Amino acid sequence: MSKARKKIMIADDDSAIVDVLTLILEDAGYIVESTDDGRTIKDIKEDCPDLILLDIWMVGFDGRVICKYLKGNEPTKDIPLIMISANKDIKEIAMKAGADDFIAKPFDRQDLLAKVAQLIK
Amino acid sequence: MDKRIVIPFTNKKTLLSLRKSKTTTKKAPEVSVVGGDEGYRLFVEGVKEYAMIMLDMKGYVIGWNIGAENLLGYKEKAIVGKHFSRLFTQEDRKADKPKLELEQALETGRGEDENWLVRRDKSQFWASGMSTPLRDKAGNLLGFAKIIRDLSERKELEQQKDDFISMASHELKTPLTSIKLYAQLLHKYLEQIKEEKGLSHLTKIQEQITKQENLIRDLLNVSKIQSGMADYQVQEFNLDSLVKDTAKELEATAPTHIIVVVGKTSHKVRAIKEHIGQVLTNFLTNAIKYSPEAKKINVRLSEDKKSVTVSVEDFGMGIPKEQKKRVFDRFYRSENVKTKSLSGYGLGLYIASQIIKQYKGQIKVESIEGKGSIFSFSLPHAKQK
Repeated sequence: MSKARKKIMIADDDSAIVDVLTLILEDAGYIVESTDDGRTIKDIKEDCPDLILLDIWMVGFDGRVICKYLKGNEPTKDIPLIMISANKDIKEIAMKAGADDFIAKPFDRQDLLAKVAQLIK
Repeated sequence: MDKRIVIPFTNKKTLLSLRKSKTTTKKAPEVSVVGGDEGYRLFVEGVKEYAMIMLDMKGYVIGWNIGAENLLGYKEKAIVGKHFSRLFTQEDRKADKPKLELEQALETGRGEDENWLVRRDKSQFWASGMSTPLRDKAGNLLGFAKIIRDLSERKELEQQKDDFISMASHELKTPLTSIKLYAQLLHKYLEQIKEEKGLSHLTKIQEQITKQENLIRDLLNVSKIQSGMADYQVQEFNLDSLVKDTAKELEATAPTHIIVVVGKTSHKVRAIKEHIGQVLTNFLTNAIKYSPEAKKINVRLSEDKKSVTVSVEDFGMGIPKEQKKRVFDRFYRSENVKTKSLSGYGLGLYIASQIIKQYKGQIKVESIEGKGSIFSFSLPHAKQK
């Protein structure tokens, strides 16, 4: 199993961000799925991704609530989760919500890949 | 001896009560409105934005203009004869603030402060106030004049402005992130296919992206520093190593200049290290940017009994004499850098001065146009525990 390509789920409602993140991550060899709907990500039951990239500010959904939910429930609680935000207090917000890491906009391609690689082992 | 004093209120009661309040001295001062100066009286009465209040020696109200009626909600009739401490919050009254304010006015000639005041309807507003002792020509104290201005609107506007900057920079960051990432992907691709011309254009685009990123970061810093938010810890530290590290870092990014650090300090300062690092970075990047023809920048560390000083000297274009004062203003850029079309937003020095003020330090500039500038800041010694 560990040799198989890892799957990453992106939850973000900005289509340009989803598009470019998909390109970058696929280019790096990951399988990428995405959603712009906060609800669908809460319904992950089977076929869990190996890592979740979650935007903190999706229209109609509070990324912090979604993060807490995912981290508080089987089978998603052990999936590494990185929060993305332009909020200057992202570090504190991510810690409080129980995320494994955070990345602040605007970030570099290399930073993103490094953080993903570290968590997705 | 002439004991007349100019009282800008014509209300007879005002004059009477002022006389009454002087019962401790043998001769009551002869109070009169100056030469029947109707214009002056109208001026005081007509000032609607400022509350102008007169108090006797003990702090009892003896004069009250229209501005005071508007601002504080008491009609003159209702307040004259009452003690002015009722305008303070309960908390401030407990702390004896009214008394202290008058004492300060007596000691220094004027007492100035910003605080919450209470209207007749118990609502509160943020006020700036100034109290001045009134004396006759012989120097006998007659009472106090107090001028109050409502600052709530200014406070609210400042808050709205900061919220706006914060929101706008936040919204600007998302599209900037995708632009930056697409550019980085494209860069990687063009490198793979060795498309040199495309790469050179793209590099220019990426430089502009970095500039925009810096501008947004600066804007956010302005609103952050002003709202007093701190992500970092205040600590006591020696400036020497911070200065040397920052100089080294910038030297690496600007191979055109050599940064020479001389001097050392033994006293520590108390601040958020990142803030002072930001000031140094702003000084040094300016020194590099505005001395394109020069090769050297001098940084000097020194101290005296009270404070530690860092100065950054460049040999560049300098600042015109009449514009020196304004370089620390927000969005201000001196004429000579504008005409040379050097990029910048006029935020760096403003941020630096805000930071240094926050730590009760001083920020200065000396400059000769065409020769160069010396920017310096001083911070007080950290108190020994």
